[in-house]
Amino acid sequence: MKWGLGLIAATTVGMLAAFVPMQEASAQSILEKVRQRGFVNCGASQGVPGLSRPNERGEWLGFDSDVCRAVAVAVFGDRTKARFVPLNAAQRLPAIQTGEIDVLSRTTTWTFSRDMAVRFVATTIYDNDALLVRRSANIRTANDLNGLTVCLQGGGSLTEQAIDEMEEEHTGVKMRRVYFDSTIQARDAYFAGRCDTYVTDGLAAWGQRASTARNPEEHQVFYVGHSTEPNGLAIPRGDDKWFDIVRYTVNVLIWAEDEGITQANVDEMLRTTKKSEVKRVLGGEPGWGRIIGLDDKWAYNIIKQLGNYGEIWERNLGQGSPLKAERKFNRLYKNGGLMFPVPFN
Amino acid sequence: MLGTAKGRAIAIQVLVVAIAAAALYVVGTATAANLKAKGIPLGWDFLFRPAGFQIAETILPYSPRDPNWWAAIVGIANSLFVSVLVVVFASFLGLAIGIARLSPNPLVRGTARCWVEIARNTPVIVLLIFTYSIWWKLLPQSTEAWHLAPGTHLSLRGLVLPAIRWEGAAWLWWMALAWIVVVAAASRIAAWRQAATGVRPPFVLASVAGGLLMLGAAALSASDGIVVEFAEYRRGNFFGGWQITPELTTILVGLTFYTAGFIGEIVRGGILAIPRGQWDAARALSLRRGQIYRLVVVPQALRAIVPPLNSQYINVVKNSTLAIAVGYQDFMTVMGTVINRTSHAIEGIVMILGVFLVLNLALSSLMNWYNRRIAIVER
Repeated sequence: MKWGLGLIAATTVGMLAAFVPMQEASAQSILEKVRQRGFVNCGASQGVPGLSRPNERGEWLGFDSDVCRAVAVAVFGDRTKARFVPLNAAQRLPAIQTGEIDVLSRTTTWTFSRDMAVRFVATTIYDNDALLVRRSANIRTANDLNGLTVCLQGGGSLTEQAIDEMEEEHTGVKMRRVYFDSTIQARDAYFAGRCDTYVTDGLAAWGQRASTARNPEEHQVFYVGHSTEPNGLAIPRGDDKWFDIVRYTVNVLIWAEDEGITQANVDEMLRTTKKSEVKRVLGGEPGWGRIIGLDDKWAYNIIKQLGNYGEIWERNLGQGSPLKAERKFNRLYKNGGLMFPVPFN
Repeated sequence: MLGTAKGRAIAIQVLVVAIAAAALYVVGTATAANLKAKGIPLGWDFLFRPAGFQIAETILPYSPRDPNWWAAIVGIANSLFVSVLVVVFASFLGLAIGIARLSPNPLVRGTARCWVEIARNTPVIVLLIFTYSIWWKLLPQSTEAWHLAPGTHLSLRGLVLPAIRWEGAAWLWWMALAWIVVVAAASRIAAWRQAATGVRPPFVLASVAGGLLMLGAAALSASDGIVVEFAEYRRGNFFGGWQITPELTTILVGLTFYTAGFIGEIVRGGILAIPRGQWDAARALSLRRGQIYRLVVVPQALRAIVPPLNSQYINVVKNSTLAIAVGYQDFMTVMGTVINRTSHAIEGIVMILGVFLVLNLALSSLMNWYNRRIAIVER
């Protein structure tokens, strides 16, 4: 009996002890945790061509994956120091909140209610919601969608709401829904013929059409919902240090495109530039990295290893990819888009 | 007080409960503090905000304007609907498989054996996804649906049947109910007469046949109350009628197949537990094989079958959460959506755990009650 009591007491003390370091740990910045761990945990999608999808060797390819790699380059100077965790729509926010991932880079729309739960850092892509639909269905206006069956990913995604919005705007239009756990299952069900159409993000729709459809010409992309949505990077709340790193990683990408700095010419730019801002950001001025808690060469490394925003776009989504998607709102401000860098002064 | 053994025992129990309560309190407050530090809010007010999302197939009426708590109840109803149907189907199938496993016919025995081995040695999620993908290979596109009978179409979009409704003829239902009562009573009276005289009067047959005739006549005379609604086909989709989706069918077929395999083995074990003497005695009374099973073996085997059956039924309820893998929205899926939309993950998970705990405890106590009822009364 004496032993039994001792055991209970020891267990209780042990449990209490287990909780004390947890509270201290939450005061530590994610940056330190990432450094100790040796890699960045990136929240990825379940496989969207052009945005984030593993190839047959298990390497994640795509725009969203490269943006998260840029964060890994900023911290470690090495693009391979990023690990990817595939998440569905319902898992992604809790994964940030619980610290399972450090950065969410996965077609997630920045909204008020989500920003109250996690912290959005920067918009990386402006996208629309779109339906992939067979040309034989002959869809010209939203009214033609009435009575069709749509496959979609459930779990409260905004693409799901795009259908609701479309029905509200066009009275009399009513679509029948079939919900799936992942956007991939919904896509497969569409291609099998279970549904007349499949709803997803605009770029993802182009990606699936280009890479999954047996004959892309049989399918068309039809935009629904009136909104252009900001898709961005999100991190846990209450960590300014990590926020700085992620925000200015994205800014470097846009800034470099604006300055005309590319993967190919970054060394030459560093050597020959007369602009003090370019020289400083690329690490030509000692102490520049200390302000943000990184190596002096962090910005240089990002461009050298991954290229600027435009290069990442063209490689994954644009003319260098099977998608050949238009940049539209994602062009630089000076070309009529919405991408505008914060000055590095 | 501590001088006596009983006093010490009470003191120790009080201490243990106090330590457990203290530990729970510390865990609770520490979790709450950590959640607050991470900026995750706690609270239940989200339950009363509008759900704002659609649910494709529901048993209960639902619209996105309903609050989150109603969405949860609609989800529970969907889960229960699937679970109850699977439990019923799998029990009957399992009984048949269990008996077939002991059949002298090698073909019947072999088929049952195959079923059991496949069901027991495959992960249920694989069975479900496999079943779902079978439809894609087997069924035609909706533009080329098979028209099996007037108003009956089978395609990738599901099975479409004509809907049959009795409109304004509620008395027909009452009549059918009365018929069932009469048949049950006739069966009891016949058994009583058989016990008294040794001859079983054909009361059951008479009441079944008579009732059918009367019901048929009544249904014909009130034929204006019967409405047959055929589905309408427009641009690849069917409207109206009675539609069974591939998603619901998959979860029912897949889970039933899986569970029936396990129940079959439980039934077989229960039957084998009956001593040979019972069979010999039944044969000596010149009972037929079916009668032996129905009157002698199964009632006794039930005592060995019910306790393990209980855990199979609980597994059905738990396995019903795999429904979303094949596109059927159950309680788990609905709560996942609520969590994603409200960011109240902790509360949502607590709700999921609580609901399944309550459902399974209720199911257990129901089965325990039944078990006590059929148990041998020791004298």
